[in-house]
Amino acid sequence: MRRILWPLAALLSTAAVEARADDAQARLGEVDEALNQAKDQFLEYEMVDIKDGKERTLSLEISMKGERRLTAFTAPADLRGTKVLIVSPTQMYVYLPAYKKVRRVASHVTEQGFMGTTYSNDDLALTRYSPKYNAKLTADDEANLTLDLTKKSGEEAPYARIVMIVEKKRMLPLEMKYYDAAGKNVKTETRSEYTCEGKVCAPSVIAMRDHTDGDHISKLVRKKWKVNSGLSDRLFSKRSLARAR
Amino acid sequence: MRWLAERLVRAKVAWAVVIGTIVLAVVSGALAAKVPHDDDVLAFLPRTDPDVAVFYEINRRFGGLDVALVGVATEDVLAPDFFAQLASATKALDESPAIDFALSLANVDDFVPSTDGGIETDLLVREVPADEAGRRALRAKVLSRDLVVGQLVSAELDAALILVFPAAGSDPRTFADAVQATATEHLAGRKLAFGGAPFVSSYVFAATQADLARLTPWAVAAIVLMILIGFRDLLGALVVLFSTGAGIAVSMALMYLLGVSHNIVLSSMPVIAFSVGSAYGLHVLARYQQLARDRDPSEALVEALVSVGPTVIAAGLTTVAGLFSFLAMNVVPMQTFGLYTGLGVLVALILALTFVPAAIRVAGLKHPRGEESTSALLVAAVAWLRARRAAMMAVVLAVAAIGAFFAARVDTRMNLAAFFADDSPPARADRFLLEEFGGSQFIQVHVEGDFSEPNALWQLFHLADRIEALDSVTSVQHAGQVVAQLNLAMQGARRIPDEPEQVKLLYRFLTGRPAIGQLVTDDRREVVLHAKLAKSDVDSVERALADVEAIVAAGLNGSPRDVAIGRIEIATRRAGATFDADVRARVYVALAAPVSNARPEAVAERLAVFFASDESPVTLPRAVASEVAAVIVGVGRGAGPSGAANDGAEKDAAAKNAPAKNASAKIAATLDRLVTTLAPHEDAIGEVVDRTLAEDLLAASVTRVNEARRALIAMDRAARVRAAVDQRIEDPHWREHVTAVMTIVDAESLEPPPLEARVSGLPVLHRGLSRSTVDNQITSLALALLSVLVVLTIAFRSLRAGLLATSPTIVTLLAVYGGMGILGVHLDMGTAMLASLIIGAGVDYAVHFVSAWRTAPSVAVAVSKTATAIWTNAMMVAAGFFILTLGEAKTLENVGGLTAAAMLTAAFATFVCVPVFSRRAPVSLEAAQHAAAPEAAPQKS
Repeated sequence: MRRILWPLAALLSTAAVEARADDAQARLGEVDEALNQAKDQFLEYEMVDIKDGKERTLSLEISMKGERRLTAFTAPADLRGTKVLIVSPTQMYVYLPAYKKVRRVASHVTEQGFMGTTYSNDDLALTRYSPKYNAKLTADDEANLTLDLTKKSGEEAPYARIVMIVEKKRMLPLEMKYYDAAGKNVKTETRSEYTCEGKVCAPSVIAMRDHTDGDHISKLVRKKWKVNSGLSDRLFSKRSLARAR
Repeated sequence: MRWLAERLVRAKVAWAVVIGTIVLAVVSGALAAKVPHDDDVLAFLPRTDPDVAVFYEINRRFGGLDVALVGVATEDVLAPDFFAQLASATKALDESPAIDFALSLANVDDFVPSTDGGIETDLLVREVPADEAGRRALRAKVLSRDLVVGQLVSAELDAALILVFPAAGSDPRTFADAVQATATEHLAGRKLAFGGAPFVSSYVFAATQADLARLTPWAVAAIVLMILIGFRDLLGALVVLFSTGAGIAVSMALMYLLGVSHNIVLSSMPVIAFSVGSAYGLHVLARYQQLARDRDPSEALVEALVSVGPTVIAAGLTTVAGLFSFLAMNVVPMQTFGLYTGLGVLVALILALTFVPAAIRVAGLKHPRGEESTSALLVAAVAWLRARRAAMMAVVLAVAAIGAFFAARVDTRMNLAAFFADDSPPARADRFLLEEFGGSQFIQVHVEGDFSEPNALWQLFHLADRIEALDSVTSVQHAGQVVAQLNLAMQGARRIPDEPEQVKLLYRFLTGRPAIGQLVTDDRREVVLHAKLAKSDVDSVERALADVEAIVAAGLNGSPRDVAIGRIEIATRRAGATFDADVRARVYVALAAPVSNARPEAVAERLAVFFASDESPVTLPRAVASEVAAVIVGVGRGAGPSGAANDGAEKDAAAKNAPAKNASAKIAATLDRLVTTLAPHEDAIGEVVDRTLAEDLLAASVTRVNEARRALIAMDRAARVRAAVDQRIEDPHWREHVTAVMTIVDAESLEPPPLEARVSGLPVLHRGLSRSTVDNQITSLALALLSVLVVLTIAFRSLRAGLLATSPTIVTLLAVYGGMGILGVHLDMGTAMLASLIIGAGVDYAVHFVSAWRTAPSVAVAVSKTATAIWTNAMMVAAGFFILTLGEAKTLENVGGLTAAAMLTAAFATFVCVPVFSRRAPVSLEAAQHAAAPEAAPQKS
């Protein structure tokens, strides 16, 4: 009898685990959907970067459509007019007003801070998690759930593991702890003060803390936000980079 | 004194004093063990010295003094297995909590123009190719990076270096230990060298502690043996040793209670306090033993204190005053040393007059059996000297004169070799860095100005090139090189960009890169140039420093042609070719020759490459790109010169020479021609061909045409320079370096905004420290000797007696410092402490001897009263410190050896100078020997 029961129990147990994994992966898909509700977005941010007690402020405008993203710096003066166009995770262009030219940037150092901030190019380019990560549900309470994401084998992903706390009501991430391959928590990102335009929600404050760099922190405070304003595809082209807005 | 002595011989009082002292010593010992150790070398810096003040400021802003260097020897740094180990070690170091970041070939990043157009930012070495051809290409790439070769890898690629920067506030020894442990684990089986200040201070501390732990029992045994030989009384010896140790413990306990840290200068405090302080108890013990021969012990004890007490007090207070004279110095640790050593000696003095007699009373010490042999021999020697007073005076004065002559030649320069032996790890690391990386010592030049200005950066290059041209300098690193390397990615030339906005933008790309913080401040108002020296011996470093200072003094305002020639000289020397006065003259002529314009066809060819690249507003098929380029530049296939791009490129000239309307018409015509040229290829282009597209292409071409023209003219000029140099140059980077600088040759001026440069670095710091040590030494010695003379004159109520008692100290000082001059021992903060020891011991011995002679009926009696205590003290300290010279720590070897020599010299000088310089009547040898006998009758003098 035991010979029959044990394999059966194991089978049922495996099935249960798989069902839970499927459920967690579906939840992660919901997060991706919630994050990518807008057809396009335009945001103005003020970024405060604090490292070793020194504080500097940058102002930037971000236009997003699909996975394309155009970042234009408006302050400080030496960065004003600099634009970064991400067409895909592997295709990035930068317009340098001081040189009056567009340059293609083939960056393999994607984990390095962008313009000295705690945000890497990878962080900026990561807009969907479910294609790159397997999810496991590790906590589920009334308000939030916690998803433990591990990199899918064969996928190029910036972090080996992400522990994501998600607000259940809108399936939006509140906190993400990023881990390297050695299991070390290298960064922590918090997204707070979400506001919504219809189904599209976005945080008003985003902060990224780099634990490997003396707790270096970059904090983005949203100043302006437009949703589905009909941004043209032409905006996300090389030709538009050198043109003034 | 009699009042005190009579109370101390009472049993209850004696027991109370003994128990109280033991309790005090135990409590003090427990507190003394908690005194923290401070390895911060900057604490020693006399901030009032200008060189030291500049060094301190630079180190505070740029760091660098506390960087640990891990050198790794290998056959090939680009061998896959080695590179994997290097990457693993760098990553592990980088993640250690005690470490801010680690930089090596495995994680240094790189900005280069991409082969398919654009900028490529990547690690310089992401992975080592499996095939030999790939590795050859990688080797060439690594060797082309000025900021990497000689800094992170050796020129032969057979050694790698990891630069490790400590986390803010991390303890230097914890940091050094973490680096060593991590590197050893991840680079197992490799030959490692650990260099840099953290390892040096860590090694010196560890080696000293290990030697002290190993040798102290032997030193104590030697000291006890010497006391036993002198006094034949083990218990008495232990009492004296205990009272001196208690004095040191009380002083250190005070340090703990007042929050004072131990440091490398204060570490000699117990040495000095022990050497000087132990004499007081010995004098009391010796006199007691003499008197106890034929008296009741209590009576002998009282009389001993009464007779020797005032002299001990006078000698002690004189020494304490001499030590407190250190408070006049401008170096805080030296002041602290003087204060706490003085306190230690003072407590030892008090205990010698209280605890020692009380312990003698409690222990019931009696006169040891046996007769003294020291005194008889000495009495004979002193009598012999007295009999030949004039001749001996001449000999002593001659010795003093020779001593003074060589003392004036004591090398006062800081010599790092004095801190560790030739075969010690820091010395081996130093040799490794010298052999593989061209040196381990740096001179820094700190320059203030606006380094967003291209001209300021060009002048920085010029300064660096002049310094690198010195034979004593192997390489120079500065922020200009980093900006030029980034500009190579942006503009295709390894040079300073033309516009301040471009420089500012490049700095932005560098923001957050930790290694940049060593070269330029965040506000770009200060830079530091690091010149690596080819040799690290004191003479070579001093010469290099003088040369660099001369270059800096000459100013930072080179003409465009001077700056260019400086760059060409360095590139040529690096390529292994000669750059002498003849070559310089030929290059100067080549640069002065007029240049012709770039060929339009060549410009069009470069522009076509751009249009076919991914960076073009619209990537054009190659054939179409050539056609479009020809239209814009105005060449080929009957397109006719449009002049549009030329107008864009030379807009100032166009604005002056042609009416705006005419220019607009030309641009319009060019745009029409572009639309016509592109229209047939609309499908291939994948964009609607219209006027807007033509405008985008024309606008994007302006910068590219300019750059192409300048590059072609620069290449033409570089070819002429190549002919002028007229030597075989195989370095593939020579042309690139020379071409890059050709663009400034025709500039009217490279006059920068005001720049202010100051030379700094460890060699300058050492010079400042040496200067400070000498100044302080002279000041404190003068003060100490003066106070000794004043105190002794008052004590003896005679200037002559005061001078007589001071004479052994002066002769000892001259003899010991003269000996240092002859043996080439450098005067530094450690050896400078000797003066206080010599004054303490010299004064003590002389005071006791002169005092005894003044009250004794003869010199023989005075000798017999004092010889045992003086020689026992000198011999025991000398023996103890000689034992410490047998260890590995060079600091102990120097201090121990010199202490031993100084103590013996001070004792010897006492028994020579006082009899020779004293005007009292000579004593015949027979009379002296007779007087030395215990039953000798008092003799009038």
